[in-house]
Amino acid sequence: MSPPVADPFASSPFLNKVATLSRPELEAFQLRKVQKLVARLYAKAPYYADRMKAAGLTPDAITSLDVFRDRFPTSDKKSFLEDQLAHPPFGHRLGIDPGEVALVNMTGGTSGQGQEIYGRSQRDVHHLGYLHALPWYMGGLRPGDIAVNCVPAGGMTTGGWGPGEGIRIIGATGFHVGGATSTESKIDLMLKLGRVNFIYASTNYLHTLTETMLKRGITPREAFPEMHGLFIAAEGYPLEWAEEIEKHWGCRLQEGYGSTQLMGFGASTGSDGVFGKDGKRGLMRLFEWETLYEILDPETGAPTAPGELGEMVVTNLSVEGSPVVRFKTGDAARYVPWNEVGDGKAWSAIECGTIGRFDDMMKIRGNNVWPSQIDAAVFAIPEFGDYAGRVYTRGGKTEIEVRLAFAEHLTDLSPEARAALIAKARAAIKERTNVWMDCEECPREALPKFDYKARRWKDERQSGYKF
Amino acid sequence: MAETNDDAILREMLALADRLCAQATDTMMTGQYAFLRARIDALLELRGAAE
Repeated sequence: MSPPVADPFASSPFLNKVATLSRPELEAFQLRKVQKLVARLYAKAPYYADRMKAAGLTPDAITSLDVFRDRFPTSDKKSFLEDQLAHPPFGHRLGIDPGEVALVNMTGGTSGQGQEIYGRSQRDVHHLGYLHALPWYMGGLRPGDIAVNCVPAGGMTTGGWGPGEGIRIIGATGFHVGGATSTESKIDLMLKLGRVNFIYASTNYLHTLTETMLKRGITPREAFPEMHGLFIAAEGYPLEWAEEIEKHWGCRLQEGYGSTQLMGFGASTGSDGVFGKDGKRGLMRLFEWETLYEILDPETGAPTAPGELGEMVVTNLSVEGSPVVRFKTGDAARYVPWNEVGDGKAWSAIECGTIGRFDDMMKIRGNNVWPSQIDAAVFAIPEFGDYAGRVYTRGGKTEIEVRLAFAEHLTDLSPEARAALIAKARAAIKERTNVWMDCEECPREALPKFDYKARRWKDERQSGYKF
Repeated sequence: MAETNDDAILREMLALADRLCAQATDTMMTGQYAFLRARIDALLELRGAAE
C-alpha cells in the first residue's frame, strides 16, 4: 500500500467547510446556483431561453431541483453544434457579451462529429485553474512543489490551458513538457530537476513514461523519492496496473474525471487513491458544489440505479461563459449515491478506472464490448507494454484482431513464455467481453505511441462489406 | 510619474492583498491569494507606480 497523502481537509478550512456540508445544505446551495444560472441564461442566452419557452418553462418555475431535472430540456453535442453553425462562432448559448470572452476553448474533436466551442470570461479563466487545482491539491500538490504536466499544453483545448492555470494558482512550479518533447527528453529533464513532487498525465502516458524509465534501468521511486502525487485522467485501467504503478513510483495514484464541458475536473479520488478500503476499485467523489450531476439511462432518461452504468448529464454551477445545462456527455460511469459511500460526506461518487464512452461501445457478435474492458484484460498482465485492436469483416463474418506488444524492458522472455502470456491475455479478454479474439504478438515499435488519449481500436467492418 | 487616483486605489488594493496573504493559513487558498496580489502588483509596476 502506498503512503497516505497529507490530509487536504485538515490544511484547508475552505475545503473542510465544503466537506462537512449536510446533503440538505448542499442541495439548497445547488438550487440557489441553478436558479441564478437559469435566470441569467433566460435573459442572455437565446439558445437556452428558446428551449425553456418551448418547454413552457420560466425561471421562476424552477422551485426545486426536481422541477429542474424533470422539466429543463437536455442538450447534447449535436444541438450545440447546430447552434454554433447557425450563430457562429459561439452559438446563442454563450450567456455573456462576446467582448467579455477572454479564452476560447474547443473540444478535442476525437468523436469525429465536430468540435464544440466555448467562450470563457476572465472570471472563468481563474475558475478553470481552480477546477484543475482542486483535485490536485486533494491529491497531494502543495505550494512550492515541482509538478510535471505531461498533457500537451496550450492550443485550443481546456486540458491544454487548465493545468498551467491550476499549478500556478496553487503556488507550485509547473514544467509543462507534454507534446513538445520526446519521452526520453522528459525523463532527462526530470532527472536534472533534482526533485519532482507531482505528475499529471493521461493513463496511457503514465504507462509509457514508466515503461520507458524501466527500459532505461531507472527505478522511479528511487530516482524521485520526493514524489507524492501521481494524477491520471482520460482512460480506464485495471487495478493490477495501478498496483504496479504505485509499486514502481512508491506513491499513491489518484484519478480525476474532467472535460471541457466541466471546464476542468468534476470529480476525483481526493486523497484516497484508486483503491477502495476493500482493495477493490475506489471512488471518484463528485464536486457537487461546482456541478449538478445526473446519471441517467441514455435510452430512457430515467435515473440510474445505484451501482449501475449510466450517462453523466451535467450542469455547471459556477461557469459564466458557455455554461452547459443538463448536457448529455455521452460518458458512461458507474454511480454510487452519497449515502452509500459511507464516510459522512454529502458528495456522491462514481467508480474510478471504468469511465467509458457510450459511443466507443462496439457491438461484436451480439455482445456490448468496451475498449476499457480489453484495456483492463491486457494491462492486468504487466509484461504487456501496449496493444492495438481491429474489428473487421472477412467473408461476411466479424473478426477481431488484437496485436500485443511486450514491454520494452522485457527483452529476455523465452518464446514459450511469450506464447503463454499471449494465451493468458486471450483468455482474460474472453472472460471480460464474452468474445474470443485473435491475439498475436507484434513488436513494440509497430504500435503508435500517444501523448494523451490512446486510440487503440479501429472498426473497419463497414469497409469489409464493399464489393 | 505623477500619482493618479487609479494608482492610489491599486496601492490600497495591494495593501489589502498583503493583509490577506499575511493572515492566510489555508493552503488551498494561499497560492490563489498570492496570485491575486501579484496581479495588482503587476498593474502598479507597469503603470510606473510601484515605488
